[in-house]
Amino acid sequence: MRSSRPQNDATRLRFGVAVIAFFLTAAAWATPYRPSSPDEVLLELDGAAQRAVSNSAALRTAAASRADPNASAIIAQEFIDLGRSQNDERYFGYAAAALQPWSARRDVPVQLAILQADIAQHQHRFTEALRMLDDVIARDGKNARARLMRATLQMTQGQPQLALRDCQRLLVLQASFAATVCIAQASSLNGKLAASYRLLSDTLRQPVVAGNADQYAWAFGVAGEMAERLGDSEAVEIWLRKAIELMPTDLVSRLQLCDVLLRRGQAQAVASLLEDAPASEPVLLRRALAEQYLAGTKALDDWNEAKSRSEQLGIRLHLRELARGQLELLHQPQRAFETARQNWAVQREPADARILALTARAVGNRETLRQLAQWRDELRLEDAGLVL
Amino acid sequence: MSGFFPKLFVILLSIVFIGVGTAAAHSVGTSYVRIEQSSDATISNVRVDLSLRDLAFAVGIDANRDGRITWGEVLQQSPSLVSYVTSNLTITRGERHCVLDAPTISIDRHSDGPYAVVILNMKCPTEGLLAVRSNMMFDIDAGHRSLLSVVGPVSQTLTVLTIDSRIWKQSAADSGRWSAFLRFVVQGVWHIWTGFDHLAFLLLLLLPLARPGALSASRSSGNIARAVFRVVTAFTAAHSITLACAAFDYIHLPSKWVESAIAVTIVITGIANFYERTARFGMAVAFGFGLIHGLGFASALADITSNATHRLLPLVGFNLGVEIGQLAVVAALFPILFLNRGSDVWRRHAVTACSLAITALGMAWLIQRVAS
Repeated sequence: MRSSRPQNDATRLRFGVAVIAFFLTAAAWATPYRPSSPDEVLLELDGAAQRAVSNSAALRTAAASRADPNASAIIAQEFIDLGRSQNDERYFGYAAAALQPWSARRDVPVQLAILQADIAQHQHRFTEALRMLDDVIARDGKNARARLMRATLQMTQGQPQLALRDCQRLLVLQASFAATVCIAQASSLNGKLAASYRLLSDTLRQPVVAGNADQYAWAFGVAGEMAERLGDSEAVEIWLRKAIELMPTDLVSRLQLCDVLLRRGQAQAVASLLEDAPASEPVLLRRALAEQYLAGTKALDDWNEAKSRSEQLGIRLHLRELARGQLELLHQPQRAFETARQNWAVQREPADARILALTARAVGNRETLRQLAQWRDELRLEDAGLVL
Repeated sequence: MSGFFPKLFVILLSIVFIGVGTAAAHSVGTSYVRIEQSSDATISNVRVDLSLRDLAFAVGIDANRDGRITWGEVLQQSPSLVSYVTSNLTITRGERHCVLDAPTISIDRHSDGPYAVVILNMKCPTEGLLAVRSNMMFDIDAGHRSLLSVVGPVSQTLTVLTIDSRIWKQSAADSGRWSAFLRFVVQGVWHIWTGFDHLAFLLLLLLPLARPGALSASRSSGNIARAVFRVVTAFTAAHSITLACAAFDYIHLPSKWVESAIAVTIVITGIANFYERTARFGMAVAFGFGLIHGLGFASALADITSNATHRLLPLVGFNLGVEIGQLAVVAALFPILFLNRGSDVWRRHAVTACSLAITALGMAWLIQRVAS
């Protein structure tokens, strides 16, 4: 009796999801209405969005003619910042559109190419982003921003050795703080976790330099990730809380902290941490995971809706997140394993290895586990959370 | 079966609540384009839903720049809104342009916030394949997705348009005669299965056939089969006649009266079923009332073929579908009739109970249809 329950649940859930998806598609065409008063406020744009929109309107004409690359750069940067701070994909699309007149042109100015790469990286078009950065660095070897971006990308793809080279070049380029964090991160992924963690902790003991909050927040996040691989969950929480304090809009650290809390079963803390967070898929996923501890289905429905919306639109951004949802929420290990494998083809951070291992174990795929172990040993990756 | 409906009910309820409390999703910018076409696509309409957030940027809909978009501002900007749509959305048929006019503006809410809805009339050339090209929002948002649905009389396609693939073309297979014919067949089957009134009438005709009185001396399966065959044939012949007459405009009656008359046929046949002897007249009833049901099929067919240039193909397809749907019901019912042939319980209780229920339903339909 007991053993049949999860399967029943899964079947019922699948049926429910199918029905819900059907009705949502139908509901997308609900009857429109005409408000009764012309004074009815339909939408309030927040200040930043409003400024960005009105600034860009004036600059767009200049940008469209390609006469003024600076105009394009200002608009694009503004929208990228807006997209990051509000975690809204839409603004990355706006930024890309501002750079559209320059797309696929060989004479694209370096500053614009970096922005294009930034957008591509955000949209998980890693190969494209790398190619753009290679091109920028070939033209301007002293570009610290491009070096740092490329190093981060290479780490994302599981190539810390390559990343280390760019990190070391940053030292020469007078970007010592970024260089230190970069070197520590790359080495930590390449057999020197404990030493790198000590180096980074020492560096971060100095007070935060004013105006550098975003760099410090990034560094705290990196330290938190290392502490996690060391299996020191108290330290992880301390680092991540520091990062969140510095950059309250930084969602990445917040999501990482949620995962720590979820592992400890502190569901209520997760719910309050995400209280005012934007309803992006990763946020909805964690809300739904937290809800498994509390009673309810609202968050699961929200996540399901966001998932089917993305499927309908053909968006496959958060494969790692999707695999986790399929495994832990929908209890579909086979599907989760397939998704984790697809994710592994584009992204190879420790977290990607962890979800692949988790799903491979769930379906009993020993070959994948063996390959993962081999990959880990070759890289000399240390990660307490990667159980093979 | 008993477990299914409570579950369905719970799911339906939960949908209602999801609809109320949906969180504003932070996804890529999205717009919706829906084209509804009649069978020959000459007169149709287009509905375009554009996010107010995107419109603030693309059309400058926040005229006083206070960051609050009001209904008044949307109305005030409606000329530029409409011209934005008509200049960025190109619909052609047979490579010639369709004309978009008579816009109306309203508001709708999707999961990521409020949208302006522009509904336009669309007049297209009569021949050729449909094509849609959208440039909407791609100039301001390179990641924008436009969800295009083209709804024909009996089919629906759903496509996502992006900056790199802005064009949708109807495939020749979609518009071919054979597939159009098949779609009418499906529509006919669908109509008989979901239009419960025809199904109810058919049940009333068939149920008493297993009564001893309805049959001559023997109670063999052959006899029942023959009785069913006669009734079904009479019903089919009758409704085919009136369906064809109405489809070719020889008869034209207001659908309200036709629908009400159908309800009357159900009530009368239902009451007649309380008397065992009436089953002898099954064939005559099936034919006479079948004429009225045919007119009902005709108005359903007219709904999906308004302004059609070809009439025979939809008519034959639809009628064929109706017969297939009807035969499926008969096939499902026949074993029950056969097993209960001449049974006392069947005669005294089952037929009466079913007829009573269906008669009540017919009464409800009648009141509803006359009152509407």
